[in-house]
Amino acid sequence: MAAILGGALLVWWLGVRRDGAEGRTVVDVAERYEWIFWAAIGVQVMTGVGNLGAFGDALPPSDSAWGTKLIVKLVAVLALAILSVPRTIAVVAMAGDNAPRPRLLSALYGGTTVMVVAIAGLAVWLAHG
Amino acid sequence: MVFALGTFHAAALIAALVLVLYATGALTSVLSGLSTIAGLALFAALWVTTVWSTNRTLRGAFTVAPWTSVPLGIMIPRAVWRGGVNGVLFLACVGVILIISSALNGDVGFLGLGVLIFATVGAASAFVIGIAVGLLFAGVDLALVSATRAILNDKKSRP
Repeated sequence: MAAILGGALLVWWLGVRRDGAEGRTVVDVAERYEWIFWAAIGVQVMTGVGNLGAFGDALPPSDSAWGTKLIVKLVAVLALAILSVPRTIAVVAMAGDNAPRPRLLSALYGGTTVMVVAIAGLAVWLAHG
Repeated sequence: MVFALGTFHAAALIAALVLVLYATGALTSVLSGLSTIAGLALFAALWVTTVWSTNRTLRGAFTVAPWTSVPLGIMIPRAVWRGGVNGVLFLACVGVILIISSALNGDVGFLGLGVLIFATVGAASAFVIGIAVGLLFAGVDLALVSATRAILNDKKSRP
């Protein structure tokens, strides 16, 4: 989660800097970030299911308050994965066309940052019952 | 791109399944029959086979940009076929993991019958389910590619 959040913040910051990082540099960093992001998403889902399994029969039902929070978190994770695909495709297209657009990238990574912070907030909310 | 899309398919499929199973109250019974190691191995197997099948589906598609190289008439049947193959490959991994798990537990009495069922009815079912999932994700991917193209073509997003 730290890698996902920190990397998204870094690309967002590179894109919005007033002195302007070179567009090519922002795309290079974004390309590397995408590898880390998707590897981290896979590991998050894998360990997340493992954590649910560890509850065993003590897993609270879906109609409980905790269950509602978990459903909201699962929907948020699914939304993050779906909405991240256009970002990744945009980075691949910018790298392929050699036409970087730092401001568009900072908007896409700003959106990712907001979603990741929201999911982290939900995780804390879940952990405290 | 292949790794990203393959991971997206595997992660989204599992997240959606967990969501549906939890909402319907069936998740506890599914997870209780699975040890942590076996669960991790199953997801890792799905991840690997899905990235591999995505790689086979997308070959030649990303030479210049994600939407210029391969026509839909080729891409969609390829995604459907590879989805079916991925279903069978994943089932084979499930079989291996279950055989190892059974052997470690000393429970090998029904191994022959289990292998027979896996190799016949199981493989056919896995192929059909894989086709449906492949078609579903082909549609989702195409929608997301169209959305990206709209974002990149938007004049406001241009420098």
